[in-house]
Amino acid sequence: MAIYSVVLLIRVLLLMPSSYEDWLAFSQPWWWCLATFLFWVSLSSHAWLGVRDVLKDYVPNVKIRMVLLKLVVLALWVYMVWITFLLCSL
Amino acid sequence: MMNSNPKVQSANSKKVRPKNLNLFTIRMPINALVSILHRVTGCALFLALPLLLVTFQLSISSASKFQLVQDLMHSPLAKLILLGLAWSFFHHFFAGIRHLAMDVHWATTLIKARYTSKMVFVLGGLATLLLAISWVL
Repeated sequence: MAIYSVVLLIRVLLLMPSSYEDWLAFSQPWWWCLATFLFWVSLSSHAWLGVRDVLKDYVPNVKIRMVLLKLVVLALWVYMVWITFLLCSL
Repeated sequence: MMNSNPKVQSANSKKVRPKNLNLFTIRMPINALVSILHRVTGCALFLALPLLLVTFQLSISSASKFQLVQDLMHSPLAKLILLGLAWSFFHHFFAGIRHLAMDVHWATTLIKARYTSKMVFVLGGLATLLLAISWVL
């Protein structure tokens, strides 16, 4: 994820996409879509572990915590499907 | 009168146990501050994910929607939110790298850890400042 972030920054600085056409050309290369997809897979597992730890520490009520954890998992799966759909529609 | 039942006694002593969880009375060492902010920024970034997805969807859907996103991003409120999220990202990024370094036992002594904590704040602040300047220019 850190590598992807740095590459993203470098690409933005090099290409400076300012128009809609530029932005599409920036996002469309297959290898960039693949990198973005892999980034999102990493992001999902990272967010899951992080939020799980935070909820474990700050939500002592097991029932409420379980509901929140399930909501987090659901949200992350929705985001995963969402980004996949967006990347495929490019 | 003291209660001889040990169970009741422990329940009583529980009641008078002092609580000192007021964050304003606890002096946080810089390492603790980096650590808690790593958590807070992580949560903020997690909550911002739907915002990111909506923005990306709009930006790639059509030229007019792309323009709309650009106009929205130029509003002061959006810039404030973006700046906050940018700082969150940079802090989380640098604090995360610090964590990775410590996982391989690099900079684990107190003096070094304090130094890298300061570095996290300096680099996070600097990166956010550069972003803010690039907007003004």
